[in-house]
Amino acid sequence: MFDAATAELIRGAPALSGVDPLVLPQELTRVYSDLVVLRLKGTSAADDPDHLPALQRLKRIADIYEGAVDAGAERNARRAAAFVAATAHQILGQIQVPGYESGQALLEPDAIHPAIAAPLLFLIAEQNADAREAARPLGGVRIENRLRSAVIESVFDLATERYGGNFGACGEVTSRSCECRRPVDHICS
Amino acid sequence: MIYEQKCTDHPRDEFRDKVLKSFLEWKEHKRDNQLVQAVTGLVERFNLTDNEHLALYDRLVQVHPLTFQAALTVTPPIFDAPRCVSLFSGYADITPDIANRLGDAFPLPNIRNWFSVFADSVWNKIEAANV
Repeated sequence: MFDAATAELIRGAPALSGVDPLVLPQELTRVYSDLVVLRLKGTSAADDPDHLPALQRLKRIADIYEGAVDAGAERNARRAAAFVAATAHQILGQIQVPGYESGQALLEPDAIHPAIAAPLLFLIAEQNADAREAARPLGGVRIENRLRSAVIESVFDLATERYGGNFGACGEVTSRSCECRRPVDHICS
Repeated sequence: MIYEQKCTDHPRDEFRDKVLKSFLEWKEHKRDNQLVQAVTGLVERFNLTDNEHLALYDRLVQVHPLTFQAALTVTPPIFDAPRCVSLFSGYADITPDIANRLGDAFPLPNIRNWFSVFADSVWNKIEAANV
């Protein structure tokens, strides 16, 4: 599943209790291949008791590494942790395990959904192609809160490089966001 | 500690249908991303090293040392022990260790009065500051 350079990047992730980064490439590959097999059989991995522990473990690894990235680990370890967390989010997102269901809020004051986190984590890992792929589900997503909607749209634009050097797409988002702003006179009157 | 504080006329319904449901989601690791993101904000001012951050999130998610506290408004104001037991029925399903599940019951009229006094106080401060 991973080329040699990517596997090397993954092995650079910081060790966790019960998690050996040296074998993480194989572990991620195994989970992914199991999911592909189950999908071909028409079985949902999230409902399969044999696979649930592996999926739960993967989610915990993703959450821990996402926290480490957020806290600002050193550059190489941060890139590696970000890549593992993003990859795990992407795998888990495909099977809608708890915490990844569509219909959950994408952006809340207390947390961001893995669908938003994954492209940002890939960008931190400097894996732009993966970021583009991870951002694809965010294309065209609009939510009622226009400011949050603009943030989601901006994440999509950033990960898919839609700004294209002239900031055209980002400018569109900014214009729409400005519609949310109210004049100071209005607030103070 | 995970808090749920509810001001309600129907404490049992609120506890059974919302508080327990929420606690279960925390317990079953469904909200670990929220947990980690909340703790990231809380520990920001401690200037932890990378290793300390990692050890913190590792323990937080894998050991999951959560305790729960539910606080609900109740009527009548004198709310005896059997009523409390009935109100918090099902709590032990979240965590068997009683030290990890706390329950508080506040008389609803007192809380309403507190809200009113607090709101007046805030309003007075705003007017005094001429905001």
